[in-house]
Amino acid sequence: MNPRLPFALIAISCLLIMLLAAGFAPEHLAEKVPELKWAGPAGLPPFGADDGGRALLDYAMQGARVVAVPSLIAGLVVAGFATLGGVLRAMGVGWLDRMLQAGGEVVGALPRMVVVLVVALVVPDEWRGLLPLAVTWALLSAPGAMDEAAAVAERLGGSRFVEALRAHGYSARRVYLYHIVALNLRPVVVRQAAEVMMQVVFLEIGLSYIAEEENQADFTHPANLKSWANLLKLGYASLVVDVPSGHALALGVALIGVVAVMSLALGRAVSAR
Amino acid sequence: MTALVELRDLCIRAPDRALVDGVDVTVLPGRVTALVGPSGAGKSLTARAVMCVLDVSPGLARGRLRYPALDPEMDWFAGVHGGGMRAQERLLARTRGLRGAYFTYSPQAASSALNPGRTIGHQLAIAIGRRTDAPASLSAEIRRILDQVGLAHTASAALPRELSGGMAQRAALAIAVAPKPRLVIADEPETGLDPVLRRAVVELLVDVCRDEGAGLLLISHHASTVRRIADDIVRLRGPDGEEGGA
Amino acid sequence: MKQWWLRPAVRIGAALLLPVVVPAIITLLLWALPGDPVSIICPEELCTGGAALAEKWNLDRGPLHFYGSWLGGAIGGDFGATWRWQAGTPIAGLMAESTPTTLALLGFALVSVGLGTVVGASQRLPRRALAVAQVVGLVPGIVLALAGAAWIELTYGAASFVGPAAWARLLVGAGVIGLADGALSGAVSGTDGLFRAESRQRYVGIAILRGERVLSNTLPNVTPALAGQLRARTLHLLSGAVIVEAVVGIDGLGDLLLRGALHQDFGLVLASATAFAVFSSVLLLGQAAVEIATAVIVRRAPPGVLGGP
Repeated sequence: MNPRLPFALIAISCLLIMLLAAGFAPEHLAEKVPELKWAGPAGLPPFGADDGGRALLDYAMQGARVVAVPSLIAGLVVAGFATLGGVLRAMGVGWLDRMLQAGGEVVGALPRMVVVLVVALVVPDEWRGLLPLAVTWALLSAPGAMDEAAAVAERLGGSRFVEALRAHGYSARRVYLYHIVALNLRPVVVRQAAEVMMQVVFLEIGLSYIAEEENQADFTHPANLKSWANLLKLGYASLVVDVPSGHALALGVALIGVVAVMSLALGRAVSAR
Repeated sequence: MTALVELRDLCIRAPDRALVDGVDVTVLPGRVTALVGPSGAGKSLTARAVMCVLDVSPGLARGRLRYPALDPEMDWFAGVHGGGMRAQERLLARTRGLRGAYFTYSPQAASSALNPGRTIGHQLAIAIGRRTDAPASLSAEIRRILDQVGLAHTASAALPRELSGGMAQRAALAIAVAPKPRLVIADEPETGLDPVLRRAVVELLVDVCRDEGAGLLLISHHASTVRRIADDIVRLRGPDGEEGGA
Repeated sequence: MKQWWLRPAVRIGAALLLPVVVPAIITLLLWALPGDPVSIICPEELCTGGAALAEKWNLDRGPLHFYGSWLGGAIGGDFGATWRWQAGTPIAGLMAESTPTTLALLGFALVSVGLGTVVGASQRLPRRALAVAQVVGLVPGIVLALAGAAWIELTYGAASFVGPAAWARLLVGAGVIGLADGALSGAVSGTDGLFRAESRQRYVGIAILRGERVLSNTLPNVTPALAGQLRARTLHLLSGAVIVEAVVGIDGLGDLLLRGALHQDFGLVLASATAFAVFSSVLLLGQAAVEIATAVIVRRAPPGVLGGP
């Protein structure tokens, strides 16, 4: 059996579950059911209930809805830039390469969170949500991804590699799309995309948690939706006071773990032989 | 005449076969010993064994190595046979002081063999610093060595990438002889050079070694070079038993 | 090599421009938003004194005047007052309190990055230990920060911010940003990768045959790249500090920026983002200095050789 197959299956399963949960997430939480307050998974399968007796499953699904599409788009943005970086290095367009490197230095000069918060501040209300922040994060990650992909193309031999393959009779399209991108850039492009997807999810959780703490409108999702950060906030009380919300904390941490596993598995699934 | 190095019955093994088996090498002061053989015969491996640099596993299976001019009795391979990489790493550490002092190494394709982040002058200064007796004037000594190998004094301020192939080979030779070693090990110094330069570099190598009273262990597969300059020849057989080479 | 000065020159230029460009961009973004800047910054339903604000900062005279007067004030240490969060509080005072805290947090967090760099440079770390560090690095800062905040709350109480509790928050925060999100593991693997790649260069093997040490040969050559990695990691720590300060309860610059963004206080965001830009400039200047020093050292040749007979 191909050793990468289990990782591919894990990654695809996690991604599919997240997308399905996002697709079927309810618009609002259910009405409160006081008898089910803090019910555990046995009392209200599969994940238990919050302090209002509402299913934590809805929190999980709504949280998936908040992060699924923006993180996927962020991953695709980074994948696109990484591919571009690798292809440009293979083409050997020196001046463009140098220009992109210089641009990357400028883009990478500020801490990412600062840029994201400024963007969060200036985004008009009608565009508010995780997507602008996710795309910002992806654009800030792009220079590093392009560098890594360019290094792969450099190790292949850059434009000399392309020339050699063209001399063997392969078309330019086949050389770039198959030999360079599909065979050689694929591992680094997919790994970078998977990492950025994971980082966007963690970014959303961090910002949402603090917005909840401050009782302020969230940057990342409308008020009718819950984030996975809400699970952490509910569960935090079980650590510091005697509130039986440990199952909410466990669920929140487990969801974070699933995202991390998905990212790792995706990277391993496409790693070089 | 006391030998500079005596290597007896060298056997180095890879997991599936012997890479070098039953090789004897002796180098005397002021004489050129050529190590010849086809590709894969183990010439570089033997030269590295002379320098106590063994980086193959399981590695040293048999052999005795002495530097009689240094210590007539000591077998440097004692305790290393069958000890694998750890024993060989300990040998490497124990003999670090000998490399670059008692014996030095002059590589082929010198452009990539010199530290790209140091000027030739700086690298010469480091090599001279490995002598037991420091020269009266470092700058004068560097000029003398540069003259000896036929390099302009301006090469002292040059980085390796700023030198041509021939100049880099001369610079590598200068760095090899700068510590006034007893033995110089030259690994295919003619590689990558045109025939005219090849002859010039080899003759320079021999002349400098003889001027300094050092022995020269030369690895080469150029028959004409070996016939012209070697005083002694050690022939290694290839993996399939063929002699080949010079 | 002829153009070795180009990269450090670009970095120095970027470092000088960054604290000036960042507030300019924020100013332009404010004016790019639909509506009147005064009502965006200080909507009637949320804050009072909009007219006075407009007068003080030339908000009714266009972005150039606003930027000019803000920058002029900032150079003199006057960042104005907060507009929405704790309205009317002088921002300079808030920043004077929070900046040293963030610097201290960063300093402690850099210990783990420094340790990771040294361990990576030694190339002696077993692969398993590196794998463990990478798994720990996968844990997001928010989770570790919550665990740390819970421990502090249980040990010192939720409202304790002075004395040992303050130090505990600082050290826990530093530990979190130094470990989470791949900070430590990234330092180890990044440095390890750098030195391994350099050690595989042919000249290193030849240097061993000359009796020289690997580190003395490789270190000068990897120093510029190492400086770049350290700058990137420090930026990463600064980025992580924003969330961690807020969660653990550290009154630092990151916490200030976050609150400013949450409460849509442009004045606070402008000032704290500019402060971060200054930090970034210092890092850029540091990297440029290392590159210049390395280029000078590389060119070092024994004196007197060229002047002799």
